[in-house]
Amino acid sequence: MRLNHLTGAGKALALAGVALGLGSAPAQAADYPQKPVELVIPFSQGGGTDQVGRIFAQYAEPYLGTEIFVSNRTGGSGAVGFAYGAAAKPDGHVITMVVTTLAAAPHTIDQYPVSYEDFAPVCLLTAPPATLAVHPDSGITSLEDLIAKAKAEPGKITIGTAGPGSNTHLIAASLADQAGIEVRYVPNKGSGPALTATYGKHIDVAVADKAEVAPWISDGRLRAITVFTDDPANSIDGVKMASESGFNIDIGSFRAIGAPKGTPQPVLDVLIETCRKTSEDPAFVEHITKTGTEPYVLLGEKFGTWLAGKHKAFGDAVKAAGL
Amino acid sequence: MNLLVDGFSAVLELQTLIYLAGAVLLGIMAGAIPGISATMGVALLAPLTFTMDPLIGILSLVGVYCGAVYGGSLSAILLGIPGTPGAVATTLDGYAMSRQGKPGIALGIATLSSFLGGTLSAVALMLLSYPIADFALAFGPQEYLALVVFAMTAMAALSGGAFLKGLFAGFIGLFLAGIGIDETYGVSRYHFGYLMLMGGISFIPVTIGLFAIPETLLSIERIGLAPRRAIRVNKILPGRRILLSLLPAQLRSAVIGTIVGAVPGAGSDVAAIVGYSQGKVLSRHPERFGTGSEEGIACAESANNSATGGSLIPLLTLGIPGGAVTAIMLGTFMTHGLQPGPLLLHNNAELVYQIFAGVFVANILLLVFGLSGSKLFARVLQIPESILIPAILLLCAIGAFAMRTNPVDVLIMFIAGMVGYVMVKTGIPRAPLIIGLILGPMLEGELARSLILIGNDWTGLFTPISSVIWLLAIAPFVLPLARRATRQLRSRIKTKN
Repeated sequence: MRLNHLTGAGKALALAGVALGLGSAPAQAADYPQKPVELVIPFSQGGGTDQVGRIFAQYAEPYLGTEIFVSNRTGGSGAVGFAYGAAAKPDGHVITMVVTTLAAAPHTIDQYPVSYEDFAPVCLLTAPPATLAVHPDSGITSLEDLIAKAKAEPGKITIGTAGPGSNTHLIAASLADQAGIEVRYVPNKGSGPALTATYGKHIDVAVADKAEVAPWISDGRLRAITVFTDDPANSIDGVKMASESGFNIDIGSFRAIGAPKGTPQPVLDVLIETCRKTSEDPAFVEHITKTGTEPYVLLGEKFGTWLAGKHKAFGDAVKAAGL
Repeated sequence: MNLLVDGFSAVLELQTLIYLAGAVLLGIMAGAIPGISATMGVALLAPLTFTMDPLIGILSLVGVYCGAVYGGSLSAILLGIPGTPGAVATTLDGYAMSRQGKPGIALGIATLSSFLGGTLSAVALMLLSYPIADFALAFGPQEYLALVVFAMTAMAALSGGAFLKGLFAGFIGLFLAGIGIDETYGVSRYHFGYLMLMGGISFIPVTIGLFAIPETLLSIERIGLAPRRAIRVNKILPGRRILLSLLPAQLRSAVIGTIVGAVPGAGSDVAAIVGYSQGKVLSRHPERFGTGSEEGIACAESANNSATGGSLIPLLTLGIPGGAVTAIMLGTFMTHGLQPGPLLLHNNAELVYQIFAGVFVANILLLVFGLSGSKLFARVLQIPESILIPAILLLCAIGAFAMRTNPVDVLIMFIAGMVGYVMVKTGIPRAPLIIGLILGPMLEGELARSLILIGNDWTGLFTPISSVIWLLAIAPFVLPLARRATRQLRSRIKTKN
C-alpha cells in the first residue's frame, strides 16, 4: 500500500532495487560491456604486475566479449593508478590490478590516498609466497644458518628489499623481530635490482616473491633458503618452509583484479564469471606458470574476505616491526 | 664460428628479415615521435610476439629497440625536440646544424654514428659478453653513485658557455626530481596534497615541453620577420675528411655506451650524456660543441645506440635486465620457455648466436633506412609552419599523455614549455634541467644505499672501480685548467727563448 504514495520515479527506483536484490542478472548483464574495458596497471611496463595484467587481458578478452586495453598509470608507489581506478565510474568499464602495494602502502607510506576498501573485489589471480635468496658462495644454506650468522655479528647482514611500501621490507622486519636479530635493510627500486645486487655480492640476502626468484634458482645463480608459507603445494621443491623453521609470516605478495567500489552486482558477476573462465583456460594457466608462479584464484566475496585479512596482516606486521 | 654463420643465415631468411625490417622501421617512427620512447614501443609490441616463433618474436623487439633509440635523433635534429630521452644531447648540435641549413649532413652523421655505435656494441656482445658482464656485475651502489655523479658533471659540457646558468638549471631539475614519494624511504615530499604531485614529475612531459614549445613559439615569432629559408637537402654525407676526423670520437663513445648500457640501471640516456661530455673534454674544438658541432652529434649518437647492444649483454649472459626494455625482453624469453642467463648459451646456443646476428643486421637495416630516408625525413622542414606547428603541438600533447596516460602530464608539458621559453630568452641552457630530473632519483637512491652499506666509514665510498669513475667525473673541470696551465707554461718558455 505504501508504495502507492511514492512518485513514479520512486516506484521505478524501488522496483529496480527489488530487481537488483533478486539478482535478475541477465537483463542487467546484457548492458555490459558496452565498450572496451580499461585495465589499469599502477606500475610501469615490464614489471611483474604489468606482465600478469597483460597476460590476463589477453586471455580474458574472448570471455568478456570486448577488447580489454591495458593502461599503465604509474607514479607515487602505485598511488596514481590505484586512485584513478578507485575513482572511475563504477560501471565495470575501468578495472584495476589490485596488488600487494595496495595492502601494504596504506600502513607504510604517509598520506597514501587509497586502500583496499575503495575497491569491489573481483578475483585473485596469483599469490606467490615470499622467499629469501642468497648467493651460492655465501655458505648460507638455511634460515637457521642466516639467523645464526646474524646473531654472531649483529648489524652486519644486509637484506635487500623492494623499497618503501613493499611487503618485502615488512617480511624482513618481521623476521628480524621474531628471530631477535639485527640486520641492515637496503631498499632497492623493486625486487629485480635486489636480486641482481645479491648475485653481484653487494648485499647478502634478497627478499622477493617466488615468481621473481624462480628463474634465479632454476639455474643455480642464487639459492633459496626459505619460503614464507605453510602450504607445501605453494612452496619450492627442496626448500624448507618458514613454518617448519617456526616462523609464520603471512604477508606475501598477490596480484588481483578489482572494480571501483559501488559497481552493480550484475556487472561484478560478469567480471567474476570472466575471471573464472579465464583462470580455467589451460592456455592462460600455462602462460602464467611460465612466468614463475601458478595461478591462485579466489573469486568475488571470497577474495574480498581474503583481501581484508591481508590488509590487517600488513597492519599487524607494521606494528610488530615498530615502523 | 659455425654457430655465427648459421645465426646469420637464420636471420637472413626472408620471413625473419621482413619482420626485423618492419620492426626497425616501426621503432624509428616510434622514436621520432616525442614521448613515444623505446620502452613504450617494445611494451606495445611484446604481447604480439608471444605467439610468434621465438627468434622472430625476440628479434622484432630488438629491431624496435634499435630503431627507436636512433629515431629519437630525427626529431632532435629536425625539430629541436628530443624524440627519446637519449637524444637530449643530440638536440644541442643537431638542431643547431639544422638551423644553419645543414639538416641533411646532421642526419647523415647521426645515422652513420648510430650505425657505428650499434655495430660495435653488437661486436662486443658477440666477443666480449662475459668479461663485460662480470665487470657490470661489479657495479654496486658505490659504483653507481660515482657513475651518476660522473654523468652530472656532464652538465658542465651540456651548458655551452653558460656554466653557472647550467648549474642553476641542473639544480632546478634535481629539485623537481625530489617531488613525490621518494623511492628509498617512502617519504612524501612537496605534493601539497595533490595526487598529481605525489606521483612525481615524469621527465618525459618536461622534456617535450621544455624543448618543443619554445621552438614553436620562436617559429611563430619569426613568421613574417624574415622569409623562411628554403631548405634543400642535397647532401647527406659530409666529406671524407670530416668523416675520418669523427672516427676517434665515435669509437670512444661506442666503448663508453656499450659499458654504460651493460651496467644494469643505466641506459642510452646516461650513455649519451657521458659520451657527449667525454667528447667535449677530449675534443680539439670543445668551443664548437653546442653550436652545431659534427663531433657533438657523433658522440651522442654513437653512445646512445651502442647502449642497446650493451644492455643485451647482462640480459643474455646473466639473465639480468638492465632497464625497462630488457625487462620486457626477459619476460618475452620466459614466455617462450627460455631462461636468459649463464645456461642460455649452453642450452640454446643456436638462438643466442641468431640474436647476435640479429642485432648486427638490425644496425645495417638502420643504416639503409637512415641514409635512404634522410632526404624524405628532412622534407618535414618544407611543410608550411601554419601546418607544422599545430601538428607538432598535437604530437607533443599525445606523447606527453601516452607514457603514464595521465592528462596532468599534458598540463605539465605546457607549463614546462612556458618555463622553457623563458629559459631560451634568458640564455639558461635547458639540457642540464633534464639531466637533473633524470638523474635525481638515481643519485638519491644510490647515495642512500651506499651509506647504508658502508655505515659510518666514508672511505668505503671509494672502491677500486668507483675511484676511477670519480677521477673521470672531475676530469671535465680539471682538464681544461690543466690545458690552460700547460699552454701558459709553453708560451712562457717560448718568450724566454
